[in-house]
Amino acid sequence: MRIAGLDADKLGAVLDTLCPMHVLLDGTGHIRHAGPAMRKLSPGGAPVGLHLRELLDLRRPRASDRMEALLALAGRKLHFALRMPPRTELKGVLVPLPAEDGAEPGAVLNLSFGISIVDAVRDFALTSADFAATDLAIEMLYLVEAKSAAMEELRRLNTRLDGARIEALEASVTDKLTGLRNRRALEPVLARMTETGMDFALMHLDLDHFKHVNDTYGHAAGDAVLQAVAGRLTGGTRARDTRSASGGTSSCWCCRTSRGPRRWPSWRIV
Amino acid sequence: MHGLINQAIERFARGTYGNGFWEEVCHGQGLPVRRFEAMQSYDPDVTEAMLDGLAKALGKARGEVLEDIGTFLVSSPSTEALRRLLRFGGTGFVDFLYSLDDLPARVRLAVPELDLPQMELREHGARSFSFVVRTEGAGKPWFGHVMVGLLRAMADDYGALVVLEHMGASPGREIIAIMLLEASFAEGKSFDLGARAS
Repeated sequence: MRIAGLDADKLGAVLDTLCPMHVLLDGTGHIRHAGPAMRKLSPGGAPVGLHLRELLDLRRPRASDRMEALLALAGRKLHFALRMPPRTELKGVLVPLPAEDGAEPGAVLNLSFGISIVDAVRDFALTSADFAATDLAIEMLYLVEAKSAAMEELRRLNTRLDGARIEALEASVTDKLTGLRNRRALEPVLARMTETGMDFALMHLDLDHFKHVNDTYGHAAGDAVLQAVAGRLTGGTRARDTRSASGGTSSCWCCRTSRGPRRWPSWRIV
Repeated sequence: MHGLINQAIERFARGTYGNGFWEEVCHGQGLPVRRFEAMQSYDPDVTEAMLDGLAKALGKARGEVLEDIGTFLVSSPSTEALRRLLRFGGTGFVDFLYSLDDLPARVRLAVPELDLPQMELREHGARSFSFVVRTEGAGKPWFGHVMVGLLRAMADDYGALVVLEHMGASPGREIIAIMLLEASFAEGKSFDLGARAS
């Protein structure tokens, strides 16, 4: 079979290696030969005999998909999409074959994936054999994957650093022994409540005879007392209240009230 | 030393011998950092201390430990991303060997700060190759041993049967002898361009 006076099979064999994603078109726009990669993209793997318009939809420039119109776009960058799902976008360039006297004209249409390559490789199970040896596609896929791996590593690092930051922040406003907030945490709460003018209650507690406990039963016992007091304070107040410990034996309890301080539930603590 | 390298050593030790073992090695070598970040730089002495510590704890020569690390990097599921990146190099094992000439440049594309030694494949016959690793600086040779382990695992991956030997180091270079007995001896592991390492 001949196109433009040339042997389509011989020409096709050359093009299969140089540009595996090509089609050879005859004078009516029918596909007479398709490169190996193009066959993978075609319904049933057999595009030969189809009209180009049954395989591809010309998106840009908008023009008729008749062969004469395509020939008029020779050498220009063309944008196609596959007619069938997943409607992968392709770019291409068409070169008319130099027709000998009296022979029917024909053309080579070479195609490539643009930015759609990453999805296309998966959708059509392409291998490196589907790309020309000179094609940068494999390097591009490599780069995409390498960058994703590097980004993923950075994302993990970020998560770890953020976790450490939150932990450090938490530690900086927490009294280590009792787990209550410390004075540094209480100050901004008080400042905010004073500024906004909302009603609030502040209770200051001081433990009597604490030194006696420490001196008689030891510091471990003293610590246990402080922890027990902290437990009472936490159990007897609401989660949104601020409880803080400052300087060993004294504790503060700061509470926001909605209807003014009517009955203080301090009996729950003391 | 680039964090990726320290992290590779750490992953190898934790993954193969357990967290307790790794903690002991670090403790024995007096290393304060036991968990390495891939995107940070560390003092080269830390890397040396880790390798010496591993060799001592395992009762192996440093070169053997380095070979094991190279094998681990390609065959462990935790470093699947690396195996995939290497498989982009070629469709067959010989193609892959030739692609290693470009490996430092490829690595720089992804991680610009990571400098790998230059490598060169020499073909002595259809089945006989030598692989030259050019090492800079006066540090102890190490990369060649990693490559021996890595090449051995990649040969498995491609289903090729090879004999590899580290021929020793002279100042500035290490040489690895490669005998390709059978290019497609076994099925090899599959490589799907479109799949992603998770």
